[in-house]
Parts: sequence; C-alpha cells; structure tokens
Amino acid sequence: MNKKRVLISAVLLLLSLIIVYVFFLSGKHRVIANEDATIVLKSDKLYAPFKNNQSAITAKYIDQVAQVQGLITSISKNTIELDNIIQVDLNNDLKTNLEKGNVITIKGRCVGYDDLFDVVKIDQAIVLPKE
Amino acid sequence: MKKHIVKIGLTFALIFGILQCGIAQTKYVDRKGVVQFEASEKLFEEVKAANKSVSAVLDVQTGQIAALSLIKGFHFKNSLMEEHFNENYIESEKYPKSVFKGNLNDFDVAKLNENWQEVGVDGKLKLHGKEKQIHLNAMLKMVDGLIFMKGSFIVAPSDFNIEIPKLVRNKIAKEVTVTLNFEFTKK
Repeated sequence: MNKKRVLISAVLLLLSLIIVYVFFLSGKHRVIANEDATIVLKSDKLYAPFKNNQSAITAKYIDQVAQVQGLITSISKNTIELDNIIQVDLNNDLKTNLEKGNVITIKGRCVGYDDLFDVVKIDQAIVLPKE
Repeated sequence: MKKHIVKIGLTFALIFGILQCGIAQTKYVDRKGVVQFEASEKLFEEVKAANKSVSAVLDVQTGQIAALSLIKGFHFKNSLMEEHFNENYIESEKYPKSVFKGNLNDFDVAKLNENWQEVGVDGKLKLHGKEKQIHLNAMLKMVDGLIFMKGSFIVAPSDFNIEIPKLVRNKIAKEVTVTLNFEFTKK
C-alpha cells in the first residue's frame, strides 16, 4: 500500500516537472500560424490608431495575432504590402500566385508601427485561403 | 484670363513635379535590412538576436542615413530570453523602437563600384529612451544599381540605461556587438 503511494506520488511529481518544463522552461517559440486571431480587422482600421498615436489601443494590438484584410499594393519575395499601410512578412516564400490588386486576408503577429516608412508591420504571417 | 491662370498653374505643377522626381531619385531604401546583436559570454548560453525587417533610407546626394528597427522584431533562439529582453531589459512596451540617424562621411555615390569600400559613418542611436553618439567604419559597394552596406559597432547596455540584474551579470557580455546588413534599392 505504502509502496503504491510512493510510486503514485513519484509519477505525479515527474509529470508536473515535465509540464513545467514544456510550458515554462523549454524556450520554445509561439507558432503564430497555429494560434487563433485575437484581432480581426481591415487594414485601415489596424493602421489608424498607430498613425494617430492612440497608445491605449495600440498597446493591445502589439504581439497579438492579427487577421487583416487588404488590397495588395506591392509584392517582393516574402513581403507583401497591403493598401500601402501594412507590411506583411510571410513565414515562407509566396507559393500561390498572388498579384498586385488582389484582395487577400493574412494572419500574423502585429510587431508595431514603423514611422520611417509609415507602415504597421506584421511578421510570421500566412495568407489565409479565400472563404 | 482663365486660360492664363490654368497655364501658369500647369507650369508650376510641372516644375514642382520635376523637382519632386529629382528629390525622390536620390533616395535608396531597404525594407528588409538585417540588424543583429550579440552579448554572449563563453561557456554560457548565447545571447544573440536578429531583426530581419529593419527599415532604412539612404539619401545618396546628402549621405544621410536613417534606420529604424522595431524591438519586437528581434528574435532570439530561446523564447524565454526574448521575453526577458522585452520585459525586463529593453522595456519594449514603453520604448517600441530603436532609431539610428546619421551621415556617411565624404560620401560620393559616383565613386561606388563592385568592390567593397570603407566609409565612415557618424550618427546617433536612440534606444530605451537614451541617445548615444556612434561611429563606425562601414563597407559599401554598388552592384547592378543596388547599394550594399555592412558594418558593426560596439555599445554597452549602460549606455542606454539598461540595467542587467546581478544574477545574470556574468552571463551577458558588457560589450554588445551590433552588426548591420542593408541592401538598398532606388526608391
């Protein structure tokens, strides 16, 4: 009986150690593509609070997974610009044949506002399939 | 009379347009510049991060250069280190970006060719709410109309009022090496 108890507590201890390691100490990165979007917006609605310095709103956007819809205004390698105001760095090189003028929806991590080029930056992004 | 006004207006628009073109043509930009920093100590886990989405503008007429990196764009191998860097050291919520503004010394774009040439750069780096004068000798070359630039310089966390807790002080180098790599295209 006592042995059983010791064994059970040992197993439980080991399990909790594994859980602590996996969730807190292993140093693994988030996988944005697998996370659900917490902000769903059109490009101008994401851009406006950054442009207008509404830090109370933008603080809630940074580091969040954003799903953004917009019109492609430029494409180069794995970087897409939406409506000239959102710069999207894709996870991988673009495989689908998107062109300037296409309206697309992307999902990625909101990095912040770049006042040198006047764009909001999103990284680790994927292009979502059309609904 | 009305026609005259229209004509004058058009002439002005034309001149202004040409002038604008003239200004725009001297600017080179990079939207995907790479800035990396390293503060590793031997025997300890490497303290190194890279931002591959740095914005930079080079005006080849005046030699002025500006670069902006969003702090949240720096990625470490270890996500915990990244978290500590953002929350405890650099306080990226309060200071979300780092900006360098400077000048290439005695710069003449016509002298650039396919071989790397050393060009002195002086400017100010703003980080964590503090500014510091920086000097570096960068290397530049021009290939197929693209201007390539690379270089490095050394800063200390204390230059920017960044305090390293005693507990980890021996794991983080006192000197932080910053390297940059830009590929400018004509705007």
